[in-house]
Order: sequence, then structure tokens, then C-alpha cells
Amino acid sequence: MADDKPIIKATTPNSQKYDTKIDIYTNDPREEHESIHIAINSDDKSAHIIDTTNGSTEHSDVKCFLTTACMRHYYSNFNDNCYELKILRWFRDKFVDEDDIKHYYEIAPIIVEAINNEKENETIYSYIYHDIIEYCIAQIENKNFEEAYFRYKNCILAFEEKFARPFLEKKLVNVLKLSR
Amino acid sequence: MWKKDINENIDYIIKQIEINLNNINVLEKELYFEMSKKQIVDCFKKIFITVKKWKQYIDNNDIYSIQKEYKEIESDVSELELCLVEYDNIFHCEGISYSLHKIGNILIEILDNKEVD
Repeated sequence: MADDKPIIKATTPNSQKYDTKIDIYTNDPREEHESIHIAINSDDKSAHIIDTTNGSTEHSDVKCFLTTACMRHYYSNFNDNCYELKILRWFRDKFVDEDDIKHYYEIAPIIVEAINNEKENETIYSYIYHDIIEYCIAQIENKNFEEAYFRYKNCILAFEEKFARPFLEKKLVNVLKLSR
Repeated sequence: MWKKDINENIDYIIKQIEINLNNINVLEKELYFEMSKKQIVDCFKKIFITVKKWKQYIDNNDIYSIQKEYKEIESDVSELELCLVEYDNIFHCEGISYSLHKIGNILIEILDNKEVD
């Protein structure tokens, strides 16, 4: 069992709300296993995560981490159409490569869940707001689109490496240890 | 070899859905995430009938007919897996989904190598 590698696949569920689903199994799901399912809605950029790796089934809803950072910044005054998100969406639709957008919306829910599990998540969201969102907005306003893209892409790659990968590995390794 | 591999996965799906249809009364609620109990039953039946047909296609070396129906069945299974994740110890939709995924991978391999005769 300990040698089993996690299995990851992506499908398109026949769903009214979700257009993509990523399934992660600790091992062959026809045998005893644990799993994480991430159902993604590309239209409103939200995702629903179903996690069975803690011995029970946990459901959580997440949005993209840029939106979450804005929500944390504005608290009760948050508006999904705030200036920052409007500019970032315009930039995304105009300049960001389709594959990068797809990758972002697949990885973002995992990053949000991983950040939310960090003790210092307020500090991390504050960093995202000030050092990524505000920085990119300033670059876009000054028409430095390449620099904005560079910061946007690098931050996603860095967050994926720092939060998403260790988070998934930790969860799956814990399950493999328990099932030995 | 590919026929044996696909048939093994089809057999797993058919056998499991047969069990599931017999156990369907375990579902006491009307709605499971996005699907009603009736939709779940209808979906299992549709997958059962379609996948059973695939055995005949395989006997006739007719991979293309399976390929045509595969995506729709994959979407149905994916939705069932999502809606019944809390009942996976009874309905094993994750196992069904994985068996279907394996069939998909074999189809890709065959079609890439064009060894269908």
C-alpha cells in the first residue's frame, strides 16, 4: 500500500453547476482508499471540494485566492465587482493565455484551502492583496502589461509550489500511513 | 490483450451497477447534492445498458462505437461520483469512475496505435 501512487484524473461532470471535476485517489479506488474531489465552476470561478481523507466527508466551497484576498481586505464592504477584480478580469480576458487561465482555476481552489489551513492566513492574504493585486493593478494602469503578467504568473507558480503541492502531499501521505 | 483489459473493466462496472440497483433503497432522501433519487436510478440504468452494449462492440472489434458513447457516459459517471461520494462504501462510484477511466486510456492507446483489426 505504501508504494501506491496517488491517482489524479479530470472529467466533465453532467452537472448544472460544475464544468470540471478533478478526482484524486490515494490508490486504486476499487480497493480501500481515500479521495479528494474538486468540482469547478469556470463561470463564477468557484469550486466545491469534497475531502474524505480525514476519515469523514468534508465539504467546502472556495473562490479564487485573488477574490478571497479582496474579500478579506474589504470584509463586509466586499463587492464581487470591485475595481481590483474588474481590472484583473479585464486583464485576464485580454492578455492571459488560455492554458494559464485553465491551470489557474484548477489549482486556485487547492491553494485557497491550503492557505486557509495556515495559522498566518490573514498575513498571507494581506500579502496577496498588497504585493500582488495592488502591484498588478498599478502595472496595468501604467500599461506595463508584461510586468503584470510576469508577477501574476510567478505568484501562481510560487503559491502552487509553496502551498498546493505540500498540502496535497501531506494529506495523501497521512492517509497512506494510516492505511499501512 | 486489449479486449481482455477492457472487458475486465466493463465487467466491474456492470457487476457494481447491478449491486447498486439492488441497494438503491439505501437512499432515503429525495436529493443527493445535485441529483434526485430518480435521476440517480435512471442514470445507473442508462450506464448499465450502454456499457453492456460495449461488450458486443468489442466482440466485433468496433472500438469507434465505444469511443462515440464514451464521453457522455464519462460525464454521467462523473456526476454520480460527485453526488454519491458520501455513499461510496455502498455504491463504489469512485471505482466505477476509475474503471471507466481505464477503459478510456486503453481506447486512446488503441486508437493512437491503430491496432483495431
